[in-house]
Amino acid sequence: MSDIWTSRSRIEAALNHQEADRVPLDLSITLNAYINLRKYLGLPAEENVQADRFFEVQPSHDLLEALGVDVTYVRLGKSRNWSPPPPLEDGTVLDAWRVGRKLVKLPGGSYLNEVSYCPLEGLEPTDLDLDSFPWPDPHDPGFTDGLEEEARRLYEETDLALMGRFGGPVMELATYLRSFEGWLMDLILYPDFAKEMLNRIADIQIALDEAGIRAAGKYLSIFKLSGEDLGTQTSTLFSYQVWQDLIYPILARRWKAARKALDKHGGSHVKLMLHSDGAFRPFIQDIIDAGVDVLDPIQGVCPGMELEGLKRDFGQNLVFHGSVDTQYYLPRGSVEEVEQETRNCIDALGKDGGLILGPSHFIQPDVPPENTAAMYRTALEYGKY
Amino acid sequence: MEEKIQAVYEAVIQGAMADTSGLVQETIDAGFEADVILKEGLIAPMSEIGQKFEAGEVYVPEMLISAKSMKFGLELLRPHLVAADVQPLGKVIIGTVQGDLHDIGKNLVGMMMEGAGFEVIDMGVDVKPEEIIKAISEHKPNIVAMSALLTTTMGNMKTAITMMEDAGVNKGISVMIGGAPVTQDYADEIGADGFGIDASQAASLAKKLVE
Repeated sequence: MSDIWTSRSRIEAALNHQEADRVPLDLSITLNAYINLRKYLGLPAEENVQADRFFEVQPSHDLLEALGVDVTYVRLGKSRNWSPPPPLEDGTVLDAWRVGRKLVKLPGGSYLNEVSYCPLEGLEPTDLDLDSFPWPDPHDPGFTDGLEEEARRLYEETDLALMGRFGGPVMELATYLRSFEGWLMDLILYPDFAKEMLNRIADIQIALDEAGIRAAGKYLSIFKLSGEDLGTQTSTLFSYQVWQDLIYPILARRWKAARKALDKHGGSHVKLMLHSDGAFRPFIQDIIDAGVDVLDPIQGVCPGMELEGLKRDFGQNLVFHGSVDTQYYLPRGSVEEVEQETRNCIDALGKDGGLILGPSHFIQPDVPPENTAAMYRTALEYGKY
Repeated sequence: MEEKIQAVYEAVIQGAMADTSGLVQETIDAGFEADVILKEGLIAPMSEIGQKFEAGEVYVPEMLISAKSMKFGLELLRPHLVAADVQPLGKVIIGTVQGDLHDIGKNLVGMMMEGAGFEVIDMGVDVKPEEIIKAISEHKPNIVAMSALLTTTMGNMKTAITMMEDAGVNKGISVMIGGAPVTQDYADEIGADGFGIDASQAASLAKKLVE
């Protein structure tokens, strides 16, 4: 191993279950929290900070450097052949899947984009013609415009590890199309229809993943398989039987397609990361078996997701990404509590590599910047191997 | 249990949404008392579903279809309950707090409370504290139940409690809170009377609060 560690070699050591000089770090943060954090750290204000539909911001490199964050990411570009229709009367804006979102004001003056229109909600599957639904075109050339150049530039000009984030979610998209309640009921009432929906969505997400991987796969360290929230705060979202019969085979098909594309396009070293919130321990072994290497974001407060237990039972085969609690400690804990939480996460998950520390959800605008700074400061000091 | 009521019970357990109202109609036609149909045909199976949920034997999808089946039956039964002067266990006002549009948890809690025998007034999502206060004056509930998914919006639960106190409408009303980031500690901190970790336990707690 190298004597002088770079962000990239540090991340790759952790991904290969080896200890580097310290626990590597990642960050996901939303707009107002980002602006406040820059101010708190004494970094110059930025104009026109771009945020995605979750208000997540891609942090500038000066902030990554100030905190010791080791990862940056590349995403697909904008569609060239599709543009959004005019907003609906209540301000709802439709995306390429015809899912509508509108801005909701949060206390403190920031905003969130929330799903406000589900195009296939309330329709009986027998009345739905999925062939005539205007599915988005994953082969739109706009998605990969400049992607390879950007990935190569970041790879050559920085020592950060690159995370690829290309296709979107599969199951979560089904909840957007059918509504959350409608989709959960489909799983029981119309399982064949639910499978058909998932397969159609998966085909598109796989094509998007493949497009991104073809362009940028060889420059990545981690490929993020979008988000599939499989758990609630207290349990899995559905039974193990529904998972086995219906969900898992289709998600695994998507994950294996990503692995195959990476192997084919110079990314055989790239690790696959799956995101799921909540409590979903009963599914974890299956997730590993389907080729997932990294799990994000690890909510240790959820039953079955306790950090020590996850490390003990899955740590040989699984790298953990995230873990610092965003439901209590970061937004409402004291600086001392955040420091202790950070140390606890490192103690529980850091041994023998296998940990990329970060928040267990996007840092939201209610997180005081001193808490975010305390988390990263503590990790840099306490995370030394 | 009588065969026709047993059929309603089974339809709710199975989540046979298309069948429940027809089966309830059969029990009415057969001359069963409305409160017997309610208690044995609709409330009893929801109590069982709640226990199965807590035991990890059923999950949110099964709970949803059972709750919807119960609701279809209850809608059909409601005029008969009114005619027979069957009183609900209590009245609940429920909503997701201002700034928060997430409602699946709130909906499940509302349905489980209905399934426990409460009259539930669902105020929807993004409910302002002023609207809660107005609804209290209008409906005179026993319980106000508030939900939040986001740490950024859960503070609005506290705002609502403070405004209820300031407006003097909190007397005799229990406040329950719930949602992913919400804990018993938080309930204690903001002066709520109860916290339900899931929909089933929220309904059990509501029953205790009106005893």
